[in-house]
Amino acid sequence: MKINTSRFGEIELPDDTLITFPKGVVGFPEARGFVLFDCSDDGIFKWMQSVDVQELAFVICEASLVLPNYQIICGKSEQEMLKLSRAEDAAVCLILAIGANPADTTANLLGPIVMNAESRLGMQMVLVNPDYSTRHKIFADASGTENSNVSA
Amino acid sequence: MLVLSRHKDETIMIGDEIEISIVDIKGDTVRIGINAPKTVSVHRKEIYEAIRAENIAATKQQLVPDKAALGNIAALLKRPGK
Repeated sequence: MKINTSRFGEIELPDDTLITFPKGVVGFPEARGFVLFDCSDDGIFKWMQSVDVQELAFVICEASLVLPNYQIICGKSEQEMLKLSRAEDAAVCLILAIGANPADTTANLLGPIVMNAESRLGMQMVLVNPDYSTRHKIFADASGTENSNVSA
Repeated sequence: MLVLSRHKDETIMIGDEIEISIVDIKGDTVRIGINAPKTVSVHRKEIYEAIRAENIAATKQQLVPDKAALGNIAALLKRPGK
């Protein structure tokens, strides 16, 4: 599978790396296919690149790395859409916004990316949680105070 | 935009499957009940808009972060006690 991207030029990835987002992501309903590939050597950060929209790519990481007790509730409609039957098949990731200064990196806690490793279906959920924000500073609690007790 | 007046406990139908009821009215807050098929997603518009704006910001902002910067972020995330 060859994909044209604005950042990486043409890339080639195995067909089975494709993840289908039946509803796209919020604001980009046309972006229905994404591929994931490592963006750091340690594999912690991944690019989530759209196969439909060249310039659409997000840096994501596992939600638990940002907030160890981050939790979402996957309702019946989400489970059906993802064909999710076992919680352990779900990967919950957050989109990061990395600016000029990496220390200011924020994570979008209200719009997590949930993917089913088994069915290779994904979606962006829209959460309602007053404790979470779309621009959560991931290093704000390095001092050990803010958000240390947040759960969904 | 179609504008309808409804009293408490009255309902509006949208098509055959979507029901919107006025559950309660207190001051300038209206509590609304929504019955819709599971395939229809219902969100508060401001949250949806915030996520949309953040998606656009995240994808615009990110050129290709260099690996050293990502390494620093990873190191901070893995800092013990977090």
